[in-house]
Amino acid sequence: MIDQRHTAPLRLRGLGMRYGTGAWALRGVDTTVPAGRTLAVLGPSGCGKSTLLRLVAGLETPGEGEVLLGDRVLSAPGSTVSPEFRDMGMVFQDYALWPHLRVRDIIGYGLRHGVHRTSAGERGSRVAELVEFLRLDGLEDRRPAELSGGQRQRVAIARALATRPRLLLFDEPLSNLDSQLRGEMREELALLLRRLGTTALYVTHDVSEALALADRVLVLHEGRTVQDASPEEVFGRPASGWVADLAGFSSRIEPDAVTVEDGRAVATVGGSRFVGRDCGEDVGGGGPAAYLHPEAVRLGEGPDALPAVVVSSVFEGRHHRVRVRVGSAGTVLLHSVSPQRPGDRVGLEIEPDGAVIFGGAAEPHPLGSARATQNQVGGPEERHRDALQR
Amino acid sequence: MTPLLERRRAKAGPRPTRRVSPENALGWFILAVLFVLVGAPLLFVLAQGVAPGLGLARDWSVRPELLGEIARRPLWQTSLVNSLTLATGAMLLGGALGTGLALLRHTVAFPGARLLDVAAWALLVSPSFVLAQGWVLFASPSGVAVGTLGVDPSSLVFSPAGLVVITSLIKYPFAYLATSAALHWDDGSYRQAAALAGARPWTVLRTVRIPLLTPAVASGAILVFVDVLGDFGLPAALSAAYSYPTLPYSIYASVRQSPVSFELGGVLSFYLVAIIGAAILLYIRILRGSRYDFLTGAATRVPPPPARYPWLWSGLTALVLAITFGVPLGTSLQVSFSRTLHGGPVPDNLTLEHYADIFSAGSRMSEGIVNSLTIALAAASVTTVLAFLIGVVLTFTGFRARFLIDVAGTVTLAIPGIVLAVGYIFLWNQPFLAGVGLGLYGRAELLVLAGTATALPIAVRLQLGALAQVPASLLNAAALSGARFPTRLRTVLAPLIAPALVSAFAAVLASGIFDLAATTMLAPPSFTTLPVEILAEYDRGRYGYATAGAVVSAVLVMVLAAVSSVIGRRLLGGPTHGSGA
Repeated sequence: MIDQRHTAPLRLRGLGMRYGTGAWALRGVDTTVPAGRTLAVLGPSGCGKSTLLRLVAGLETPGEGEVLLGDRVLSAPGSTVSPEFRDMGMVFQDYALWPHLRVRDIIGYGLRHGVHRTSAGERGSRVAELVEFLRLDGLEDRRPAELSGGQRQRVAIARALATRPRLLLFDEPLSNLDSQLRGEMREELALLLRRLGTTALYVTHDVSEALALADRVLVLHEGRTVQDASPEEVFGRPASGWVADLAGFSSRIEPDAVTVEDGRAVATVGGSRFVGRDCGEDVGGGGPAAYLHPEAVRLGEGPDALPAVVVSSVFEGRHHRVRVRVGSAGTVLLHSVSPQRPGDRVGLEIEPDGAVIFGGAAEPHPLGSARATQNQVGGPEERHRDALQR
Repeated sequence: MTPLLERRRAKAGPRPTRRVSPENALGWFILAVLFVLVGAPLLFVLAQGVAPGLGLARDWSVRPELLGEIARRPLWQTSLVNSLTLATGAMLLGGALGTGLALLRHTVAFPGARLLDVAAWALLVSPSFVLAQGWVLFASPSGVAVGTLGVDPSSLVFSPAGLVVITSLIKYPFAYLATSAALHWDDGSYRQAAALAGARPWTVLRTVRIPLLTPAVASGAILVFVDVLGDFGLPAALSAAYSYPTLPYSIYASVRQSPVSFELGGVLSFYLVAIIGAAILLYIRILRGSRYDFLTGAATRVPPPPARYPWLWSGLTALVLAITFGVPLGTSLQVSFSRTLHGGPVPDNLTLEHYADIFSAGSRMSEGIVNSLTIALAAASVTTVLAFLIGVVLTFTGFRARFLIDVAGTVTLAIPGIVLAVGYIFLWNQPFLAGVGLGLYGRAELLVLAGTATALPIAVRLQLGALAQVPASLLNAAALSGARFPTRLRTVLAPLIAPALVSAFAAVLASGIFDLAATTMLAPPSFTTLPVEILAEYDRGRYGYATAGAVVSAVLVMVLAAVSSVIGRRLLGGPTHGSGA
């Protein structure tokens, strides 16, 4: 019913932009989103992800590089196909629902005005189709102010789908929702994107959203690509410490040594050892480092436990947020069911899947080649290092 | 996908990329229009100051030394001194009055406090020549004051000091509204922080409140200065009773009274524009130097505490209203219903004959009303649309020369109507324009252009606030739905800011119908307009007829503004029809 046979692959070639003569907001982004797939663009605020989205939407003109949808060049330096001719639908961060129109007029807007105009009958049936598809029955005559947050978002999605776009753009559409609704809408969106089969670009700063919704994740840092890989790989084998931190591995410690044994990285800290995922060299540079996820660190007294000293303990409701110091290697954050006393000596047990370790000097990694993206020019290492040095 | 939709898609298929976007095209168009409406006339005025007769006379030459002649020519000098005296005096007195009333209004609550706001707005939109006529009719030796109250204030009023007082009473709303705006949103936390640091109420006032308020007070006073300096209505109304030539009046006389002297008009316009330009620069500096962004998100409307002696402040408000509003307009109203000026409000003196005259067949006043209304409606329509487009360029596009449009808006705000009108004469009288069929001087269309130029800054400002509240994403969403630029403006932006569009239209209509400066200077000889007719009848001594004309027009304007509000809101703000879904 809501088929998107006209979807097309999106290609970005060396895309870059700067505002005025200032620093580049985005530089050298290369990627391809195969037809029907979803690419999440992930990064903190100011990383250039909104600029990327606006370039793809035709709301900005690139300073370098190109945007292609199928074989059609939509943007190049100095010239841009206007948004109305780009065959794209977009779900805005603030939904951008016109407050003076009713739901049916909002959804049918593109079919009534402008380049996608159709007959009234056709528009009516398309709007009815979308109302049913997005469970908006009974709300057709309401104005945006009379809708809940979730309903507003579904109207925004319906509007974006109405003109049967070849590409769907999502600009942090869940960021305005409260945390519970966000979880529900994330599930809904994941299902929706799969059912639609439309090529989609999804911009977010939320790792779990990116991992849940996308077939591929492009991580941006200071306007440059630092990793372009599957969600599993971004989470399981981040390209750099910065990406690991973004993915939730928030504690960084510096081991005395890192070796690789049977494909696993083994870190040594003050005579104790723990195992983690081998991530090879950190493309951002620097020596050996281990990044630990707070959920993967437990207090324990086993023979391999890492000795540490409690620095602080704060009650957060479901658990106590405990920070411990591991000698001179750094501090580690963990969640504990019981309060801890600052100064107490404790032991840490670390789940191997909850630690990512850089700087392992051993046999070449069998997955090493998979880390570099297939469609990057010059390799992510070079660019990331460049980005960090700017 | 239906075949129809597919065909449309194929048509919309790969298109050549665009070099000139519709947004940029609109920007250049606006710039060109502004140049014709404001830039070129102003350049011609300034050029006439150093090269009198430029393009108009056969033997013109560049004579920059003319600017120095002001030291030797008594009329030029008197005009300059009178203007500066009046503007400076009104700036001080009107500024103090406006600021004091604003402080009162926002410091304590008392019955009728809101009437101070109403009075300020009413005075602001009332044509100054009508108010000034009211004052003259009240204070002249055979006027209403003598007939009704038995006192003769003429010697007090018709003196430089008296004129300063009258002008202050007419123009104080600029200072009142500027200070009120700053007091309206009052962030209590600044005062609380000072109090918690140990400051007593007086110290808080001295060290926190007054310094925060100073820019508003200063800018309000400067606005009074600028408006008085450029005002033509007041000296025009006064000229019948008391000779007090000011720059605008001498400019008018130089071009419209025999012998015509372009050099006088040019030089005096040059000085007027220079002084106003300096004042506006100072004003902008004050606003920039201490911006009002001390208002944080915590700023709220603070309801003032009840006054200790509410009757005292209510009485004071009533007195202020009676003097500023009641005296001039009440006098005009009374005169319009009176047989004679000095007869007083007694039954024998009451008559409807002036109104009957106006509505009698072929009366020049009703002809003037129809003509002025037509011109004002045309100017209001053009101005509202143009101001909307200017607002769009300023708010929603990345047009490179935006700042030029912004500057043009500010400049126009500062140029007195009389100077602009002189510029229109200098420009549209040029033989080369007549040669290509564009000699608009002496044609009614020129009044529409002048009305548009005069009203444009206000119309833009009335819409900018509303436009700034519309998120760009609402327009981007329409673009991505396939709507072209004009469609986006029509279907999304215009309905969203409908109330502002309607307000702008009503304001331009109301002020345009009484636009004295432009019509006096530019109206074709056989083309009767309302303000010129009122002034002419007034000069002839037919005060009842003249004031009745003003009253009829004012009522008509109010009715029209109300009707256009209702219609406009319904047309623009209503739900879209025929959704077809």
